[in-house]
Amino acid sequence: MKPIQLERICKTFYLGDAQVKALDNVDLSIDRGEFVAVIGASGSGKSTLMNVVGCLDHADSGKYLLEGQSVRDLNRRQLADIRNQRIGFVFQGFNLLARTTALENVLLPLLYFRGSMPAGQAHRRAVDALQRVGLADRMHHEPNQLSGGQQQRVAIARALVNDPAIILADEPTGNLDSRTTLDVLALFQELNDSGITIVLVTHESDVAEHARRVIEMQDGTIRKDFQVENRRRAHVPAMAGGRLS
Amino acid sequence: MKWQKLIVVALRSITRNRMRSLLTMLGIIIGVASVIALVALGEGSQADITAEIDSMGTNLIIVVPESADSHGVRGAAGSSTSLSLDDAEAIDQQVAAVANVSAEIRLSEQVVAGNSNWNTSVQGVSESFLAIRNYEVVQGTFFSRRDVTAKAKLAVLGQTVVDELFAGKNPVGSRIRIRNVPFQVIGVLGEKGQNGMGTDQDDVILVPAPTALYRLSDGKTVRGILISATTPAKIDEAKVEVAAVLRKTHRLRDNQENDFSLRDQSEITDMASQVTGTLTLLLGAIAGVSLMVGGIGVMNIMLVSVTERTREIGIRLAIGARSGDILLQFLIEAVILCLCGGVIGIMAGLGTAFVMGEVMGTGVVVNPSVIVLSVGFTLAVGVFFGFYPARKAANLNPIEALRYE
Ligand SMILES: Nc1ncnc2c1ncn2[C@@H]1O[C@H](COP(=O)(O)OP(=O)(O)O)[C@@H](O)[C@H]1O
Ligand SMILES: [Mg+2]
Repeated sequence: MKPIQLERICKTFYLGDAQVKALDNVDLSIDRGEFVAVIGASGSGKSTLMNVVGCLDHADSGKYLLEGQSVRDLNRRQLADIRNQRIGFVFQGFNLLARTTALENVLLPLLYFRGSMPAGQAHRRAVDALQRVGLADRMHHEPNQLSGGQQQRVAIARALVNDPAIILADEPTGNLDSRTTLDVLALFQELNDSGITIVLVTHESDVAEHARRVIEMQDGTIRKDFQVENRRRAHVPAMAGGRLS
Repeated sequence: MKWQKLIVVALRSITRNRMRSLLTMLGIIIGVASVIALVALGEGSQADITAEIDSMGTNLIIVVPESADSHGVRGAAGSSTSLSLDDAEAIDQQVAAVANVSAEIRLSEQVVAGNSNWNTSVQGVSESFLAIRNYEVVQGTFFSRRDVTAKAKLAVLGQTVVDELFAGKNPVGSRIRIRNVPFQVIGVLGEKGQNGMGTDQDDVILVPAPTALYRLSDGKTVRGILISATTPAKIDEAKVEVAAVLRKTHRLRDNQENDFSLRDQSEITDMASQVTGTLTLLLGAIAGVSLMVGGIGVMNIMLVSVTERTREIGIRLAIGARSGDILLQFLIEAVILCLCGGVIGIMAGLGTAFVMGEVMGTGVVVNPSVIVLSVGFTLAVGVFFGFYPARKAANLNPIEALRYE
């Protein structure tokens, strides 16, 4: 069962009289364990695609199967639970809660977890997730005490904490300099190696070269779809050395 | 999502922005504090008045004349006197449920002792007056029944009069002149202080009723008859009988209305507490309105807070908060804010009430039901005024919320 399967997905926005076909008959299927980079010019529909895949938005038409389950029939509340359980989000702007420690930020998805989870276990999972992104020692720092790269890694830890099958990242390196970009990409590659399916939006081709597969969008359609030959590896000095400060 | 967790989330949000939270609460604090303070003071002064009326005497019934010329029964035109010493005597003789009776005549007179003089209230009463009004004599004696019938020129002085005429020295045995009539001072009354209207109850001279009526006055003006029933349970019975006796002595025909009226203490208490009760209600209503305004303040700031925290709401929705979770979070925040405001308001209100009570010299009654009620009310205010902003937050579109700058 493929984690993500889109068939003839359409999404049109209306702005007054003008209409924008943000997604125009998109067919896409992504296998388990893939690392897909979505590239394309600004306005080509990448974010819209991510929102649909991430169950933040409904498509106007077409069929979307998330792990074999059709999303169209689900109500708001079921979609919320899917976002909570199966999908991790990483955003360009980090989107951490201000004046809230890294640990509390990472705990947030567990707060909305429907099953029973003792506070101790939740805490352990959050600490584990922070450890995985190499920020265990920054647990009690608030976002304004962290660098951009560190903030993004907290956001990735938050995406990880509920053990999702899929991580969706919309321009996660857009606000980062080239060195921290590599840190974050290394982290994504490592998570991908551990079996998590990753879809990452970028408009930088050297970022895309870190993925296994690249999809290029133009005017709401998929123009190119190819496997990356000579895939780049970002190294993970962060976790080995701890040059994070 | 569990309640406790949501409460923790709400508490975190509140403590994360303390200044805003405090400002949000301010309206509620002021509202609740004014409710609590006003009601405590209102009920306090009501209790004061009731206590004072009780101190007027036990089982008291007061008979006062009703304007007689409207009935045309007796007296010359313009005379409003329908009560006489004989009426008092008749009641005393004929009504079994009555323990003591005293006519009351009040005159405002200039009183001279040696070369001091003083304007005071001279009251003609009978020997049972002390028992009826809970007065006592601290020096000397009071006049006897025989003194009263003999129209003896004896006087018992209130403390203020003693201070003014005798510079506080024991006046018993001295002579004073009222309207140039010499009186012998035989006693001094115990101090009573001021009454609710601010009148000095010690600025008084008591003389036998007939003496006041025939030697100091026109022989007609009996201001009223004070009666004490034998027991509180007998008050109603006594009233009926007193009315019957007075109708007989006044020779009223069956179709004629009473030319007097009877009040007992409970009626007087009721009347007084009705006035203060209305006042308390009015003050309470004003305070209620201010609480309402406080609630609107909460709603206003909650709305601002929802807008301000749009991005936060977007994040929460994106990572899997249901809109119900968001709704509850904001609702709980509003309720906690209101409740905290309520609790602070109660403490502030009680503090204010005690300080004001001390300053104004009135009593303060802490009514637990008012406190429970205002807590309940602030809870309701929180839910009511928190709901709209909370629903607004819950219905945000996550994508737009995330994009909000
Ligand atoms: N909420 C919206 N309302 C109107 N138009 C929108 C909205 N979201 C996206 N669009 C339009 O849809 C197109 C695709 O947008 P988007 O998916 O954000 O592109 P990208 O992420 O590739 O830059 C753009 O032309 C954009 O203006
Ligand atoms: Mg975009």
